[in-house]
Amino acid sequence: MNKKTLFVAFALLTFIAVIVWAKSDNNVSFNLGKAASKWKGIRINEEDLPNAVPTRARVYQIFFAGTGIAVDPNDKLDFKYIRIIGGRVLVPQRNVSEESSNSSDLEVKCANTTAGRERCFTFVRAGLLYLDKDRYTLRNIDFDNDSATASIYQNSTEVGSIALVKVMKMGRRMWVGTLTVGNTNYFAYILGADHPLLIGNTADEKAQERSDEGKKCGPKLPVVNASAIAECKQNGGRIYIGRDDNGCPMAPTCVSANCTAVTPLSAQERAVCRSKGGAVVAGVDEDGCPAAPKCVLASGETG
Amino acid sequence: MKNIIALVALLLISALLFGCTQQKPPSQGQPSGQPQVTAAPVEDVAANALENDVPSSNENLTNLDGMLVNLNS
Repeated sequence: MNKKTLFVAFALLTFIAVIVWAKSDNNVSFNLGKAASKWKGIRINEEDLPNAVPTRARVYQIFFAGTGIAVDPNDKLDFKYIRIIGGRVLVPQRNVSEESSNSSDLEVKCANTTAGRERCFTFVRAGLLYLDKDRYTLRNIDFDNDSATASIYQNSTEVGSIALVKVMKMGRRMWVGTLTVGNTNYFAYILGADHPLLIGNTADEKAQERSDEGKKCGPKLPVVNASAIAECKQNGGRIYIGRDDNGCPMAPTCVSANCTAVTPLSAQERAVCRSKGGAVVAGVDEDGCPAAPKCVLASGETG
Repeated sequence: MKNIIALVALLLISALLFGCTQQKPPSQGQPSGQPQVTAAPVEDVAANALENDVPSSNENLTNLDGMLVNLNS
């Protein structure tokens, strides 16, 4: 081959590479395959659903809870006392407003009743965070058995984010990670608290601790910023903190399950639903993808 | 040779232009049917339900005390 041919071939390959790059999604979807296969969200078991819809909001599951310290690494004397809790709350459908019907923290679980009808329950992933005396709420919560991420809100305004991984030490559950509030970044160390509704298998956790003994992770605290969480939620997905072969946390990624488009209910359908005393609820599915909206009546049955 | 260089340059420029036009424009609000990231009242309702379950400082000291007892025994 002469130089001219090689030069043309190189140019053509470059052209094809640029086209492929341009056609692909420029977000984080390149490396999602492996991460997606490891994503194990905490699902709502149909068998564990209550017999009747609640008349007021009540806690259903606790993902994490504890107290600890948040330290600003740039100013070691700048530290906050943390109290935190996150979990699933069962809410009456009347609490789901039109504006919140598509919330990325809203989950609807339906089951067939013995009467052959469908009864639906509305769950909300929610959390509370206290830094000293300042109260914050957690939203856009993603949780699996080993990690948790969320956006931090104060007075309905997004002010930061948190990313935690579970570490077992001396038989105790601890949560370690990073916390950003305002313009300050903290390292967070939280000693897990017990709760009757806390999920997680203690035997598995102790086995994990034994297998992790002696492993060194180095400075690998997970960091996720609020805008990355928001972008992930906007497109439908879950933030996932994977572990490497040593069990050390990797950088958080947005795991998207190729969400399919859902058809919103028409204005007439919504009006009919409201006239029956129902609420239109949609939320997201277990993968974080937008769920199809449905009209849920006060009894939990779909109308 | 000049023709080939011109052809290659044209290919590269057109590829770059094509790439630029394929980039996503800035978001203009939420697409229909997508989960909203904005604040939602139901999330406040749910957070309030968790208020009584927030661990207290006393509980933590009890836990630490329990750990120390276990270590010493």
